[in-house]
Formats: sequence, C-alpha cells, structure tokens
Amino acid sequence: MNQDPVDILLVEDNIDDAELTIRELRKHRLANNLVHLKDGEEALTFLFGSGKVGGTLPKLVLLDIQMPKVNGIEVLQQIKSNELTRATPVVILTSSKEDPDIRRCYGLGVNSYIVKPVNFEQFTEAIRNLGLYWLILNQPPT
Amino acid sequence: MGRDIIDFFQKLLDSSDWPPRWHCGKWTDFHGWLYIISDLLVWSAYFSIPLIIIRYISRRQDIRFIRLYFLFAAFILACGATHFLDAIAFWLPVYRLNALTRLITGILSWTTVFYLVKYLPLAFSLKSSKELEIEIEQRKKAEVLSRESERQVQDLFDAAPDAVIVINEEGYVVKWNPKAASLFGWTAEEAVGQPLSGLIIPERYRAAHQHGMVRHARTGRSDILGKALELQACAKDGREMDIALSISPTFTNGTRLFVGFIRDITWQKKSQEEIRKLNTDLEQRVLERLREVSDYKFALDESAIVAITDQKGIITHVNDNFCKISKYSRDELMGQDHRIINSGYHSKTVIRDLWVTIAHGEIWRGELKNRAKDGSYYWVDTTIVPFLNESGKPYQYVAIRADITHRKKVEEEFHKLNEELEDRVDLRTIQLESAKKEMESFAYSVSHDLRAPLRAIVGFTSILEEEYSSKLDDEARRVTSVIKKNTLKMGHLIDDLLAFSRAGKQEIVKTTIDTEKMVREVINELTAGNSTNHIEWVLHPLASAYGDIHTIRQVWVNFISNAIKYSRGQEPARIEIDHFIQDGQLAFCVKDNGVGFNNKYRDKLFRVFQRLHNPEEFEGTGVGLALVEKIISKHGGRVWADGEPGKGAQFCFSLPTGRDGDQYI
Repeated sequence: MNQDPVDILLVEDNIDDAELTIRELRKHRLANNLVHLKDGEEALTFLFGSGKVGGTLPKLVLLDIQMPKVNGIEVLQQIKSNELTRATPVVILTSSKEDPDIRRCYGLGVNSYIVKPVNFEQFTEAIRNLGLYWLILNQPPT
Repeated sequence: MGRDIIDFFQKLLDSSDWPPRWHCGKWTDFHGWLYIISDLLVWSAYFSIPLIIIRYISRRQDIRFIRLYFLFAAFILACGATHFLDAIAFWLPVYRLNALTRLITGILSWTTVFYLVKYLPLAFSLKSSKELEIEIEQRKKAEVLSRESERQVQDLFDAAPDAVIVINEEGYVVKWNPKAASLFGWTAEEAVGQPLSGLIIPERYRAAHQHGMVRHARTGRSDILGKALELQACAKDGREMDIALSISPTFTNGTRLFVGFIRDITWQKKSQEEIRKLNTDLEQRVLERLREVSDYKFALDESAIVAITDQKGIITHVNDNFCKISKYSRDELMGQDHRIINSGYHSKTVIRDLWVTIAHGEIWRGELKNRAKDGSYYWVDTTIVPFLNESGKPYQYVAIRADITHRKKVEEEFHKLNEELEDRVDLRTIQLESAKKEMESFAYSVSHDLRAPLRAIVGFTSILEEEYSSKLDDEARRVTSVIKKNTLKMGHLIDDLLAFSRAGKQEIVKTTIDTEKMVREVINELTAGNSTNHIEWVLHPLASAYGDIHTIRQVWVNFISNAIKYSRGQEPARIEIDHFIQDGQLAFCVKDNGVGFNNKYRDKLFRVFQRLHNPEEFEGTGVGLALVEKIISKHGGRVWADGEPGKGAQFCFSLPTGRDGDQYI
C-alpha cells in the first residue's frame, strides 16, 4: 500500500469516469497524491484496514454512489460515524439526481453532492472547481 | 066348614056365644084393668102413629117408598084394633070380629115384612141426614167455586190478549171477547148470533170453512182442530190481516161448541219477513266476506309460507308451503315450536329481540336462516304479526315468510366475488406497487448507468478534439462534433424521461395560484436573451387557479415554450393566452399562429416520444406534452389541442375549481 500522504481518495467503479476525473485534476496538478479505488469495500479497507485508522487520512474523499459490493452511501456512513474520520471532507460524485439519495447523503453528513454533467465542459469545470476548493481554499481542522 | 064360615060372618058382631071376659075366669080388678088399660094404651098409641105418618107424608114431597109408609100405617092400625077389641072383650066379647081383625093384621104384617125385605137394601143405601148435610155443604162450596171459576173464565175471556171466539156447530157466534171486538171491529153485540163466516172469514176461505164444519158435524173428524194455523182474516172495514188461529172443540150443556183463539200476526209476519230479508242479506254478506277471506287465504297460501303459533310459540297451523320448504309433515310440526327449524345461525340477541318485539304486540320483520328436516338450510324473509285480544295482549302470532334462499345465495356469491375481487385488486395493487418500484429503480439506473457512458463518449471525444486537433482533418473534426451532438441529445432525452417518470410519483400540493403572475414570469424567463424574433403577446386577464404550484408551472413552461418554438419564423409571431369555463372546470388556452398540426394526429400529441415534426425542423424529445397530460390528469383536469397546418395551434388545459362540489357552471 502507498505510504505517502494521500491528498485525494477517488472511489469510482467506472474507469472512464475515473480517468476523465483524474485527467482533469492532473491538468491542474491536483492529482499528485491521488488514490483510485474501484469499490466501497476497497475504500473501507483503505480507510479502516488493520491498524490503519488514525494514520494519514486523505484530504478529500470523492465517492461514487452506485458501486459493486459496498456502495458509496455505506462508505459515507462509515466515515461520518467514526470519530477519527468524521472530519474528512467527503464529496459525492454521481450521475443520479434522485431526491432520496441526495437527502440521505446530506443526512449522513456529506460535505458536497455533485451530479456529474454529461456535457464535458461542464464536467471538467465542476471537477476543477471541486479540487481547487477542497484542496486549496478549504481549511481543514488541524 | 062352609056353614061355619057363613055362620061366622053372620054372627060377626054377635057376642052372645061367650061371656064377657070379666066373667070368664077369675079376674081381679087390678089384673083386668091392667089388661084393659094396657091394651087401650097400645091401641091409642097404634092409632096415633098412622096419623103422624100421614101427616109426615102429606108434608114431604120427596118421600120415596110411599106404599111402604101406607102399608106400615095400616099394619099399625090393624095391630091397634086387635088391642082395642081385646080391651072391649071384657064387656063385649066379639071374638069373631076379633079373629077377623087379627087375620087382617097378620096379612098386613106379612105384607109389610115382604115389602121391608124388598126395600131394605134400598133403604140402607139412603143417606143419612148428616151425610146429606155434609153433601149439601160441599155442594154449596162447589157451587161457590164453580161461580168463581166461571167468573175467572169470564175474566180470562175478557182480558185475553188474543181474540177468543166461540161458535156453535152451525157456525154461529156464541161468544166474542173484547179483543175480538177490537181486532175485527165488530162489537160482541153485533157479532153474537151471526155466522162467523160472514164476519171475519175472507170470501175465498168461506167454502172451505163451511165444508169443514159440515164434515166435522157428520164424521167428527177435522183437519184443523187442535192445530195452530196461520191464515188470513178480514176485519169489519174489509182490511185483511195475518192471523194465527187454533180451534178446540168443547161441550157445554150437551152442546158442541168450538173455541177459537186468534192472534194478529200481521206485524210479526212483517217482522219475520224483514228479519228473513236481513238474514238473507247478512248471510250473503257473510258469504261474500268468507269468500273474500278464503280468496285472501288462498292467495297467501299460494304465495307465502304461513305459520300460526299460540302466545307461547307452539305451532297451531302451517300451510303447505311451510311443510314443503321445511320438509317436515304437518303432523311433525303441529304442537312444536319454531326451534324445530332453528339453524343456530342467528345470535341469541336477535331471537330475543324478535320475541320482545312481538310480545309487545309489534310487528317484527327480518331475514332468518332456518334448517329443514334433511339438514339443509333455507333463508326466509319473515314478517311476524301478533294478533291481540281485547286487553291488547297477543294471543297468537301469524308468521308470513317468503323464500329468499336463492337471493341470499346470489348475495353470498356476490359477496364472495366481491371479496375475491377485492383480494385481486389488493394483489394487483401490490403488483402495481412493485412494478412502480421496479420502474423507479429502472429510472434510477437509467439516470445513473446510461448517463455514465454518455459522459465518457462526450468526455473522450472532447479530449480528442482538444488534445489531438492538430492530427485531425476537417472531416474528422465534423465527425467528432456529430458524435458529441448526438450524445448530448441523448442526455436531454434521458433527463426528460426522468422528469416524466418523476412527475408520476410526485405528490401534488394544491394551493391557489396567481395565474397571471405565473404566466408573466414564465414568459419573461423563456424570452430572456432571445431577441431573434418578435412575438406579439395577447394576454387576457386570467383567473386564479387551484393546483400544485411547481407542476402547473411546468405545464405553463411547456405550453408557452412550445408556442414560441412552433411560431418561430412567423412575422410577427402571435401568442394569445386566455381562460374560460368548460364543463364546470376552469380552462386555460395558449394559442399561436405557428406551423400548427393536422387534427387527425392530435391524439398522438400527448403520448410520450410521439412527435409531429422532425428534430431538424423543431428540436424536442417528445416528452413535454406527455408530462403535461400526466400533471393535469393528476389534478383531475383535462388537456386537449386543436390545430390546422400552417395556421397555428391551440393547446388547453382545465382544472377543477377550488372546493369540491363548487364548480363553475
């Protein structure tokens, strides 16, 4: 496992979406310390795996909702219900505009909920703003 | 001897043959005189007795046995004469005369004895005077009684309530009582002595009367004596009347008489006739009523199940229908109560309520399930009518029932079917619910899974354009742009489809909508930054509507944007918005002068993905109007459209008014 400090943890099962996302972030030099995991189970192992909790946490978690095995909402729930991980910003990146999902995620304490636009320009803009905001503008607790 | 007899009578008074008695024998004076005086006493006595007898006879007229009296007088006289001759024999001894006298005395004595013997039994039968006195007394009494009874008879005769007429054998009136006088108008003075036939017998009966009288006189037989007869009589004034008559024969002083008792029964006859008529009439009416009642009974027995019970519920009558349906014979039912057909279906409360009702003299109606003898069940519509006595207490109950088993069966089946239907509806609802859920999850996966590949297509095409543009020629760049355009279009399609499916499940919250304000906002929104063509807006005053503010807004957006879109190219484009009342609903219409459409396709307008224009002419996904239709029908309203190619189109929707039942007319 990568022992370097992680800036962004991207949990996305769709490799195309992941590639476009990473590509855009990299364009703005925001993806130097980025870890891409392909489902919720891997994400939970990465965050809460044996003895790792309380170690270096990512500065931002980008979560897709619809994923095999363990979905994004469950991962969000785990992060936000754990004292040590609660402060970590989690942004949901999803194709779904469905009301119940949005409500549920905010109810669980999500920091942002982004619907990925089909339009590429809008999509890249959203990713760019997202990265800049959470990694540069936002001041996490020390 | 003959010489002696002649001598005897010649010397009858000669006393010379014998010395006087004083000188014959030795007589003392005392003895002689005792003898003489005694004889003289006897003689004088014997001579006085006939005098007394003669005197007695001469005084009494009713003397019987008068010969015996004279004979007795002669015999006593003769005896006296012998004693006298005995006495004078002391001086003058006429013994021949003496003997003759004694002979005469003997003959008279024996004659008397003979007569006494002959008449003695007759004499014994003669009553003594005491007896005669008693008899006389009795006779006197009887006479008094007889007179009294005669007077009583007369009183009865006078006071009799019936006319009493006595006639003799010749038919002449002998007696005529006052009632007869008042009845027939003839007084007793006028009637007595007249022939009866001329007084009261009508002309037509006179011959028969005469004939009857003659026959009775000749033969002693009669058809009418002793019988009560009813016939007609006439009065002095000629008036005829009905009479009841009875005639009895009687004998008075050896004369045969006839006593007739006559009563005027004219009134009685008339009454009888009236009573007879009334009776006939009554009988007729009773018969009619009976027939009517029996007709009713027949009709009832034909049509209904009838049972009668006493006040304790014991069956006293059942008709054939009752037996037929219960399958019990009449004998099995009589004397039983209705528990024999109790099905046990009804609660005790129902049965108690029934009894309380009818025991209070009220009619009970209801439907009862009964059990027949063979264990099968039947339903009867039942009416129980209590019959009340004078004190208002039921003395019997008449139960009239109708067989409703079939109806009940149908009802039960209907009920069952209903339940089945409900079950099926429930099942369908559940199925529908699950289908809806599936649909939702389908919509979700559409939005999620279909958009992701699109994004990838657009994304990687964009990368190609941006990062490899130097390596692409013009045609390659055109191709990549076509790929991007179609991919974006598909994105819109998916968005609309999701909006459409969301509209179906969205709850609508109705409030009052300021239509004019909403329409102006929508127009402003849609025309902002679009100055390419000029639109002439005709906005009529619009009524407030009652509906869900978000979805109704979507409807307006759709209608107005369509109007703008399809009137593009008209110079000037003209859009008119109005409202009116239709079928009790508030209708709104958006009318344009655009390309319009052929009305034969208007049914397709509101179906999803149905379009009348190709996308090169007018962009669109074919979802908008389907969404409108869905929203309006959720509101309980209607949508419709009217168009003409090249002339324009009009799209309308109507909404129910605010409060239920308060609709525009």
